[in-house]
Amino acid sequence: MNFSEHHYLRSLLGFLFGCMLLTSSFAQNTPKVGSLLTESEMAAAKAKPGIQESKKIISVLSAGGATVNQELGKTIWVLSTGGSTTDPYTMVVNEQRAVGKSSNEVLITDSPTAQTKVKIAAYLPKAISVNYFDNMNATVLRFATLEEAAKACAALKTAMPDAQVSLPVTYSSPRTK
Amino acid sequence: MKKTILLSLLVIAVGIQLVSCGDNTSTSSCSESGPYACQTGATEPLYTYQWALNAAQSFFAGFPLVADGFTDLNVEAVHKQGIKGQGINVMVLDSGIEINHIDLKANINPAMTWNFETGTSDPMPPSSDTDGAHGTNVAGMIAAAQNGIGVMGVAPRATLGGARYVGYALTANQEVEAYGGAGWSKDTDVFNASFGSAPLLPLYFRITPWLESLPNLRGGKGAVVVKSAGNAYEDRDIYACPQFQYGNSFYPLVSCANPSSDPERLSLPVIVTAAANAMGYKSSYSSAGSVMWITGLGGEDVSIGNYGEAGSATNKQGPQIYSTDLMGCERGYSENGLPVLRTAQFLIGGSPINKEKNPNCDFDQMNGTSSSAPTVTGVVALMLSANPNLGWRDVRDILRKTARLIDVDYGNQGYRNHQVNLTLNPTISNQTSKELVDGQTSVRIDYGWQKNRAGIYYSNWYGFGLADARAAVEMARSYASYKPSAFVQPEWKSVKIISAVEYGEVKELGQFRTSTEGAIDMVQLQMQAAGSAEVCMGSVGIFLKSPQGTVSILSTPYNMFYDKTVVPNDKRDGGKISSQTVYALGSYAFYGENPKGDWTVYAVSGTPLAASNCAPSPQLVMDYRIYNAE
Repeated sequence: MNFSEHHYLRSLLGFLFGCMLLTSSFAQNTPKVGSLLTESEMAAAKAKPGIQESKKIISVLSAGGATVNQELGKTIWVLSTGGSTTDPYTMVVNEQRAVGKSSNEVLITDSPTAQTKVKIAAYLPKAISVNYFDNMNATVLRFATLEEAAKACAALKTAMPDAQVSLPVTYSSPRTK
Repeated sequence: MKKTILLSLLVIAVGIQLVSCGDNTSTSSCSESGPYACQTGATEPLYTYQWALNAAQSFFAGFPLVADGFTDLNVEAVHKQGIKGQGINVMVLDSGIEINHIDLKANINPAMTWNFETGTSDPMPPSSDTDGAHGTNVAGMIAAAQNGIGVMGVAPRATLGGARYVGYALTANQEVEAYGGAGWSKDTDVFNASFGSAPLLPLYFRITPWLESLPNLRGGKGAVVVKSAGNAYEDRDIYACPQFQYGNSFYPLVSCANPSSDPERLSLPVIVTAAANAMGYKSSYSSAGSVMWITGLGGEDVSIGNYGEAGSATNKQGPQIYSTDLMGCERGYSENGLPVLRTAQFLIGGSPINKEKNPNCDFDQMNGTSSSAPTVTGVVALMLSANPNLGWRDVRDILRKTARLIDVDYGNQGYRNHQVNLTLNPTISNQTSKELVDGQTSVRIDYGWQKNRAGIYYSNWYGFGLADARAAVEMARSYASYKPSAFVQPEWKSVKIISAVEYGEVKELGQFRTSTEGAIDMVQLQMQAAGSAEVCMGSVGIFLKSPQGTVSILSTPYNMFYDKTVVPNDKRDGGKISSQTVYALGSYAFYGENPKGDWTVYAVSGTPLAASNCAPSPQLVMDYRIYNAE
């Protein structure tokens, strides 16, 4: 191993260790998926930026914006972000005070991937990954932030009216018992 | 001459007796080759404890307080024909699998395994997982090999894959991979999903795209997914459901948890499975609700004695489902140091019975709808093996048509045929009428088995009944009227709301009219609060009446969201939903009926706990959609 390789390895290890510390700190302070916030925690969360999804559209809301929007639909507020550049996630809370997790993905189903590729071309430069599941007529785009995912999702809902386009958020982990 | 005839008859009679007593092979139409060709599981040393495969000759048949001696999956006739799941790929999404288990490895396809925790193809659960044996048990119930070792699965020649899947908030990409999108899962014919979520509040309903993409698999015929209904009929671990008082006693009149509360169970391709015990009635823990499709066998809550033969099913005791455990006595459900008073000796490492029959603790027993689901998955593997051309709708249809009614009188037992008071804390009245009209303050909240106007029997406890492998495989073999596999979501349409919810009474909430002719598969309702007043869904039952007069109970009052949970710091308050929460329910009780005509939605509401601060007379808005039986 030469110096540059050694230096690179040390830097990489340092970076990874930093990420671990960051993740560890994050894990200690952020409620778990499926847990419920208190009223006061919720009030604080509502002052943060949010995403609103109704049956047809998704809106990205500025800080506190959701409190004045009475349109029927679900609103989520960003609690925190975490992960890495290739595996980012966003912890959110919904109107019910339930904590969820988004991996900043847009999921497109009911659309052959050949057709989807054409429709999503404009969003690929912003996406950090895209996976095509030809046998399931499904495509998953992933973005660095939930806001970018929400914007892409909103546009794709309009551009692909015959497909199912969604912004998946997990509010519970499967249990065996 | 007469002597010859009599002798011949005697020989024939003796021969028949010999076949039914000892010969476990079929004398005709054997389609299997190999050392176990067309033999039943009697070749396996622990088969006598596998009552779900052969109740009549099971060890437990001699213990009438825990086993009736005839409730099983009716599978031996299928095995005797040599149909054992050949050519069918089953995926176990669970806690992982011990793929080198001595009774599984012959059927494991290593190219069909994955571990979402480690990102590798080794699905072995880590030693830190105290419930790590779950998936290995599930796999054994489906397809433990027929090899003269241990136990045998329902489909002992099916190919097994498996993933360490549960316990993580997976990404959507991982969910799609698990359900057929990855190289290791793409060739799956049947997915077993012995898991669910236990929400603390009515979850916002959303479709589950990866489940609704399953009809694309199997070259367009669609993969099948069998899912457990849940074990929270009388939950005390998460929820604090009230019991119903009659005199000085309390009764668990209806299910605490509603399987519909996990949105995955509202997905049409998902076959939701209840559990029955060896007495032929509902396992005490098995959750109930109107999205139940079928019943498998799961055994009872507590297994005591040497093998599970002690106690009484009425006390929630009895045998469970014998299967493969994590190998060795250091971990798994069969291990050293288990509590003697609550555990069958077979499972306790080092006990005399354990040393004799299970010396390495490689085998065990497990209960739950986690067990009943794989028994049905095994039956599905047999059906597909007999007829690989079946699509996912065909499998559902055959399971339904061939299911057996069990426990036919349960609706008249345990005060289930009594009304409950809606104005008091949960109490049982002496009234038994099924009347359902505006303003009633007491009402029936369980109808038992009902025959709908299409002539089909349905029960919130059992769905369409107990799976019958022999009948299902016979129908599969002759099946020709294949249904289209394409899955199209019907549009949501508005329910005309005519009244607010009134706690403590029955209210006719709304109506809708359909002009479409056809045959119903599933009906779904989704609802949210209208305006600023939240609705306490823990107190609100939703009943739906079809144009032809069938009433289905989609949810009951005093349900899982009524009281606080036992979870620390639970801030739930009566299961409130707001104008931003869409809560959904579904029902198969109308299966086959013509949807055309006027439907009525009722809110049957109990009295909320004062601490819940439920606003009076809240309004709901509601949509409906009807899936047609193709």
